[in-house]
Amino acid sequence: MLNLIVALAEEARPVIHHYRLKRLHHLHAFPVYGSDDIRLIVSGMGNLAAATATGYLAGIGGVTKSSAWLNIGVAGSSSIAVGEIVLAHKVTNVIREQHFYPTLCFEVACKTAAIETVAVPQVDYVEGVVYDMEAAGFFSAAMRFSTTEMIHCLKIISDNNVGDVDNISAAGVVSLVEQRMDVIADVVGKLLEMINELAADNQGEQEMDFIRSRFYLTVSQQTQLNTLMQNWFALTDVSPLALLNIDTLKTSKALLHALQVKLDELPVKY
Amino acid sequence: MFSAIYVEEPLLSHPRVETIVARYGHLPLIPIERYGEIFNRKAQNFRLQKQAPALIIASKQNNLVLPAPEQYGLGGKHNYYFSHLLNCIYDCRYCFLQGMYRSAHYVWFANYDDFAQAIHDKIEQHANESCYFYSGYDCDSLALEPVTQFVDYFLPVFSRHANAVLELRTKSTQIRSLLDRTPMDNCVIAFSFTPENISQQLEHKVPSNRKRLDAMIKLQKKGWRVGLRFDPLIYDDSYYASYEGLFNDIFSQVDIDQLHSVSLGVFRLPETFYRNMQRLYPAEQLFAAKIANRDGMVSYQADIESKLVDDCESLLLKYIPKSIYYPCSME
Ligand code: SF4
Repeated sequence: MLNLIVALAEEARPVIHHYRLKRLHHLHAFPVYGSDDIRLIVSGMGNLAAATATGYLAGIGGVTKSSAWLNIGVAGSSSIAVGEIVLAHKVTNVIREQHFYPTLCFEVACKTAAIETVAVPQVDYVEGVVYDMEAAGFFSAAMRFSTTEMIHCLKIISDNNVGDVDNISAAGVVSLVEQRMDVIADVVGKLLEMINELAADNQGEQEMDFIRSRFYLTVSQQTQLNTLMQNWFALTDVSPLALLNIDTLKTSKALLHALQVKLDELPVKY
Repeated sequence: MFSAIYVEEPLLSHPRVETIVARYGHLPLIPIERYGEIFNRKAQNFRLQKQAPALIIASKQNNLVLPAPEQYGLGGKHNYYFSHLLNCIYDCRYCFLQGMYRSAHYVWFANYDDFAQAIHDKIEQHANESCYFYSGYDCDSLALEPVTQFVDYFLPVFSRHANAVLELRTKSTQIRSLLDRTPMDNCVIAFSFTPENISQQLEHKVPSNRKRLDAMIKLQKKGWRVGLRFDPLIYDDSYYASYEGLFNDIFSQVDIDQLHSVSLGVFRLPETFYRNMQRLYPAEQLFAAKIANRDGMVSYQADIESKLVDDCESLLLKYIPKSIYYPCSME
């Protein structure tokens, strides 16, 4: 599952439209939209809101180690042109003096930048810095659920002069995001690829479910079964159920033993 | 080659670092305080990082030269290792670095003068005895040579100490800087091999056996001392024929009389490393077939292991004298 955390409804609108996400009406704490593999939450502004919304998405289920997290929004900078989009290579929580480093393990069609997350809108920009209000809160929360390769922040520069920050209209924000949907879609695509790559390793789920429905397994036998099943599918694509005569196996102990024996008989070929 | 360059801030003006930063000017350059901010932190996935690692340029402060692990020695009494680099551009599925580190980024320690001093201090401690220094423990010694210029700096260091032997362990063909120099008696370039079918499946991004063998022969012809490392030995149902073919191929082409050393060691890993690696690659046959855990070390089941080692040892000793053979024991 790819989880998108967006502060404002205006920032979210083009993304919801692009991926045809549907409002999940049974969720009330935040507006949440979803499809089969993408969810979007409108968090509201600020670090705390972003962190809470991230935790909320994790809490409603569907999150595994292979889930990815992307924060999309507008930001300010004095040295990057309005309308440009950047991927964060460093995120700093200015108040806590905490740094986070997203791992850049895919190529993107945009620049990368350091982002400083501040508590209130800045009017005095330091050269070279991108300012936002959510990235650090989002990042520190998402790190509880996934690794830093799967957590990223994309920021579209909406203002770069002192005072500009008050003049950004809602329609202007929608338009900025719309114009950068190509880069957003590229990053979303890369993250979905990584999710699929990690998820492809989970072979044997069906067999495990079947075995659990037929045998009572203690906790340590469950672990043993997991290992045997993982090793099995590392050696062959043929289901062990096709090779074991399950009906003749009366106990879980006999089942695990038979699996081990069959496993040791499998050919090892490079 | 790299996804980004992280540099410890005090090193940004170091001449060796400036050159590399300039060469990769198109990549994100991210100043950091200490390499530990990025490397080996929690919430990192080695496998995903390996798809596009970053280069972290750092300076190593402590423990620059350490006692080498037991199984690393070539018969010498004093064995040390030092690592100018952590991690490797190649991707061997059996490599213990995947189990040891959470990060696949390359950490390059650019403070060579400090390493040279630490090496010098160790050599002084054993003034009248020979000692061995291994540089390929946490990395491939030569694979990143165009960036690290390791050979150019460290060979002159060892040329001043005849009683200290430097081993460069590699699967790379980056030998130009060696071919350009006068061979040194106290430097051994050790090449690692597995049979071609195994190499193709498990040694991702590594030059082919043919290319490695050519590099080794070139060095030998130039007068360099070379060694062979068949470590790890990998089991499959036709291992006997595979290793017979590999040995025949290699020993029919190298000058056996000029070989410095040959060592052999079975696939083995500390249990924690093995578990980390299997978690990263659950569908990998290497971690699933004929494996057993003995006292915290994971290797092949005892009968398979001893047959594999005995057979390969017998095959090997048909070609080389026992005097240059060094088995790597698990004990
Ligand atoms: S060449 Fe050596 S260091 Fe590099 S990945 Fe392979 S085993 Fe590891």
